[in-house]
Amino acid sequence: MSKVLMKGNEAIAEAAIRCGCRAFFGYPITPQSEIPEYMSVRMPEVGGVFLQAESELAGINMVGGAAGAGVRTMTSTSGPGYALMQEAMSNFSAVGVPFVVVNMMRGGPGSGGILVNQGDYFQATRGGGNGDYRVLVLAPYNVQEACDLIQEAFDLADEFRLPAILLGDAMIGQMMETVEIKDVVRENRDISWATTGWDRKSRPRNVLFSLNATNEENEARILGIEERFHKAAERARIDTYRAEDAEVILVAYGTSARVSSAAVDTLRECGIRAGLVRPIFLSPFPVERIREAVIKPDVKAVVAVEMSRGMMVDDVRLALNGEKPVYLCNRVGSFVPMPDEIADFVKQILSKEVR
Amino acid sequence: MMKQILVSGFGGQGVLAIGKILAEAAVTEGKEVCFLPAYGAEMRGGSSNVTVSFSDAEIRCPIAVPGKIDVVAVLNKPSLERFQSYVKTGGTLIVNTDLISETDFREDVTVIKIPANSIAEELGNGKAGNMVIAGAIKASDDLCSEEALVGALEEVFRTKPKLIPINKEALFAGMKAGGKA
Amino acid sequence: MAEFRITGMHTGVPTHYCPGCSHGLIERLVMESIEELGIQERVIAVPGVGCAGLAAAYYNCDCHSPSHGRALAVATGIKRVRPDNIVFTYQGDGDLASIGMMETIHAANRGEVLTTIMANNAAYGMTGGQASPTTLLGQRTTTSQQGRTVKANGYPVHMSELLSQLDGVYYIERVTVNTVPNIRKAKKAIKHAFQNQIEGKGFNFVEVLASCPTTWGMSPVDAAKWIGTDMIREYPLGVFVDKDQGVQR
Repeated sequence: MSKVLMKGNEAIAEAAIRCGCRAFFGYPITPQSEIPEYMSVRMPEVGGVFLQAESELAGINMVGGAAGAGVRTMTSTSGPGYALMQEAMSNFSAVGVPFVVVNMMRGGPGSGGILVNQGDYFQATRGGGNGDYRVLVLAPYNVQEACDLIQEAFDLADEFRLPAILLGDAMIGQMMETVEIKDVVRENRDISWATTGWDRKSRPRNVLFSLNATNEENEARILGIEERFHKAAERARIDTYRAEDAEVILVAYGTSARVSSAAVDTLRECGIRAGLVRPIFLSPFPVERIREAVIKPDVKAVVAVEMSRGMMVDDVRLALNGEKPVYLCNRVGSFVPMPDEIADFVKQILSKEVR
Repeated sequence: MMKQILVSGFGGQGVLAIGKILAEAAVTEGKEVCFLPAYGAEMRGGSSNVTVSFSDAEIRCPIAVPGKIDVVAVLNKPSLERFQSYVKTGGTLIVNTDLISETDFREDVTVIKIPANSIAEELGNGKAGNMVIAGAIKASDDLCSEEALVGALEEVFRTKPKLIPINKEALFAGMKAGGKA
Repeated sequence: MAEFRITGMHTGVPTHYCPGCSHGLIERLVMESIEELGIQERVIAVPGVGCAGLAAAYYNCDCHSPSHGRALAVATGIKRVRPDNIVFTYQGDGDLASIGMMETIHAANRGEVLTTIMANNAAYGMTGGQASPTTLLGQRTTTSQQGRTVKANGYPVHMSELLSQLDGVYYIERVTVNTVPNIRKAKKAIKHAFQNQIEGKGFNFVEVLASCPTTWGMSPVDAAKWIGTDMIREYPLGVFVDKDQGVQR
């Protein structure tokens, strides 16, 4: 297939279908409504299921039911809708149901605003559900990567039996970019664990039930999630831009990373060796990859660039464990930090670090 | 080498269609394109703008940065006030003189003055003023070929074939008016 | 007299229910119906949360137990992607009529081809006998210790009557299991609700007035009597909707 110009939300929906997603349950919310709209047309064409649920709460449980029955299933939403899904994320993580949730971040707290924002980082990576559970979070920075990552998210969810989140934002959802959507339909997915009806011969009875009869069962369940999450961490990766010889490293994901790459160029023009480290996985956080890129004698400072009050910066600090000074350069309220603002911030902190 | 254009006007002036047709034309010629409608806090207030980036390689930052845009087209007065500073030194500012009476502009940029709505009126449909601007943008910078642009126009108006001839005329009139020669 | 036999739809795990509780009885009727209809290999159970939720250990079929109240959303997801399977929910009054009211009404209104068995015992059993939406006026519970009042809690919710207002429902009947004749009628209703789903008809809903002697503070015999007097007065038995018969009250 040649490259076409597609709106982010629609491209994501098409990419999901091209990797075998055959059920979509969701609820309208700006800035992702083009995804359910697109799915309402495309799913019937490919023999799949589209259903507009009565709420995000119902929608995510329909997703869990369908995914638990062994079918590649997804939903899409934005922060306020994802807030309603937390109970289900906890429950379905516990019983290992794999599915994909697209969260196109908008402003918050509360109704916030409908524009580009990154204030849902904690909501996505930590989650608001109860108990010791983890989910996978991937963060695309352009439309092509959003298409590639949603397909990878389905595979990872299957492999590690955990829900996966594609964490985009209003800008990635609304922009149009040239994309090439791959066909990667997986044959013979292992659904031997799923509730598909029990023939009493080919396998044991399957029960998806998160209540544990004993403390031992509960402990084993939690340790199982943790083990799968740690295995997934080996896949956690980053992208870098002009970071090899850098004296200052910007760390940013999604739209912030796009602006930060322009800031890197601006700084380089001023003679400052800046580079960008861009986490593609936010959960598990690519700790080792970031350390490899940042713990170098030349690196004087690390600057997390975010459109939030500072969330990912916590993970950067944990990863670097005090070995490099970490700063936060941010804007909130749907203001995108401009490359010049970031560059000025870097110049300021470099003058401090040198002193 | 990345090139960026920015088009701004009132909602309803067909601003997004200008960006769309140029973007689609460039895609058919194998370019990487990013069509970015107003995305952030700046989009409040009834105005409409779009930034389109064109490149032979991956587009890293598609966001419009003041002083960095190759071609800025402003369709109304508030847009001129907001975005004149976005044109890079040596770049092009296209001004719709039907709605902008100013005569003083930056001196370090090429200013192309076009009465877009009047030209379209004369051709028979004032609503095609946006295609006059699209033609002028094409003429001011080598973003895509004429054939690709016409092809994109026909594609965009596929469901309204009656509108194709007038819009094509407007496009050509814009190219003529926007030529740097 | 027929010999007592445990249905093959039961895993054989001893149930945890209190003496006089209706759950074991209603579940047996569900299991017998499934077995008699020959759909054991196609059926997927979605037990609600509460005492009924632990039935995932008893239904000898694939089970997906959701969060409290979400049974009909999960069941909708399963049935939509696996229309050839027979999917049923088994929910208490708290699960179905309180925390899951939205999911219940919308699944019914969409006409989902599902079978829902509601065990209405007018209280939250597992959490210790708190008031539920179907608690009777004047009924003492651990959260209405002087008896339920209209001022504090409003009126008892009548799910069969409420759902019969919706065009999406195919079959609704309210039954009980306090006497042998009533158990026979309940079995017939439950089996009919599964038969309809086999034929692609939905939404099917059977409300079973059930006893909870432990939280009611009664003996099993008194609990059965109380169903026959007080509960049936509030919740009259009968067919509310049966589209095969052209009945829609």
